[in-house]
Amino acid sequence: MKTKFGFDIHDNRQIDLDLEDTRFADEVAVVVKSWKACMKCGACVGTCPVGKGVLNLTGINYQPALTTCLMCGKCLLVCPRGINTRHLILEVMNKYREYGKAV
Amino acid sequence: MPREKPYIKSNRQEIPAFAGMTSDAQPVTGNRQPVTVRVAVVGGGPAGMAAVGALAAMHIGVDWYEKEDRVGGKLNNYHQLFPDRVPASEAFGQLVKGTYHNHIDRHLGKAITSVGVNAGRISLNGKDHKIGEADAVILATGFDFFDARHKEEFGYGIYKHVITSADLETVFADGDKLLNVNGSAPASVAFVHCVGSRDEQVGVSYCSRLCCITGIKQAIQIRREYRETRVYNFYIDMRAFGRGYEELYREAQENHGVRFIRGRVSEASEDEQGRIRVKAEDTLMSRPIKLTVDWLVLLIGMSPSCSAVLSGKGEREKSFTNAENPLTGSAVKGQPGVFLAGCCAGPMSIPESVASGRSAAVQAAEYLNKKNGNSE
Repeated sequence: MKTKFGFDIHDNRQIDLDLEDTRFADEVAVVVKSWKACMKCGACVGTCPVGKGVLNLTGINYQPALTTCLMCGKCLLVCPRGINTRHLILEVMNKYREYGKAV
Repeated sequence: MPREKPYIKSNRQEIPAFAGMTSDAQPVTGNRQPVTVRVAVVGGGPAGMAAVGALAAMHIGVDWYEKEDRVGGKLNNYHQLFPDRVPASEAFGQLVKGTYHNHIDRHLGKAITSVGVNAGRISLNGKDHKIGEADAVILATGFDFFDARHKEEFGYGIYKHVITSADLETVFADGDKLLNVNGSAPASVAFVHCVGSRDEQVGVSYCSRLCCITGIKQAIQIRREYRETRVYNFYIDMRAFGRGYEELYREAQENHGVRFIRGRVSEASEDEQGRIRVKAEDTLMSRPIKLTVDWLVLLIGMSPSCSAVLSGKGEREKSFTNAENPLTGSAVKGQPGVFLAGCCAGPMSIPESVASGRSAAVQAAEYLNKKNGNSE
């Protein structure tokens, strides 16, 4: 929220792991098991032509940025843990459609 | 550091001294040949066991000193060894087998606090009297666990549910249960890496190397025992350097669902139910984290315990001892006939300690050969 005086009020940025809902992540991991092996090295983000990558997906929910994915598969080529990122992105989008806006 | 474990249900059975602790319980091998030289080995842990076994196999007489009343060192309190989850008792059995030899005299309950080198003879001294003499000595005095109370912000010794990795290992080894305040399986457990390693605040500049893999192994163990428990590892860098370590790291993530979060825990505090509230920063997400756990496990580093023996000075003088040429040997500079084995020269895993112990034994034998003019 932009205020007229000197301070901005931000949303709470804290991650509260006590309230974390991992159901979505767990269901995707059933299909793409290697997802959990992500060590957040950032190679996928670095190589992504639309500048997004799949890095921030681990343990977190669906990202609207995924809709800009070109399915080029460059992230798949650079992942040091051999995660099938293209399969992962498709699965996340499928699951999202299934869940609708509830996720 | 012995600590009460009030919330942990104990299943520990008093085991009379490990079978074979006295030399007559096991057949002693090797013919007693007249030995002209004697080497002292100080320390009964893995490095010491490997060194005495190797020396005896070379027909060198050994005086083996251990401050406790049983050999094995810290291995006695371990559960399983990474990365293959070999039971520690099995590793101990393999190592101790080589020490039942006619050339080895055990001196249990003898603490060596300083060594003196004098004209080719080495005297071994206890607190106030001389304990023995030898032609050469191998120091295998190992390491001490970092005292986690120095990192007050984690609350070890203040909060009941903050324990160290060494405490957790004895919980596993004793077959105890790790229960929450209500007496049921814990909902979540967090590990803090690098407690007493790479931390100038407590005067430790080095990496203890093995805490990362210990954290991975113990996280897997918790997930194996309690399938519903969420396990988080807060790390600065993951240093999974050894054979099979990286594979175990991946296994922890993929098969056991252990969550690795890059960021050091800044603070732990107890909530009204006695659970531990953890504050940290996820540095990869650039967002702060709040988390409540049933147990907070501190992966403590290794502190040296050998230089005090060498210098004869007190606790405060401790540091890991450098060999004269750390690349190729374990002889101590300016102390002819003194060799280092195992963790007194720096943090080492058990296979490394064993290799180091054997290597020190060979170097001591070479030294004695040269000294007695037998070199070819």
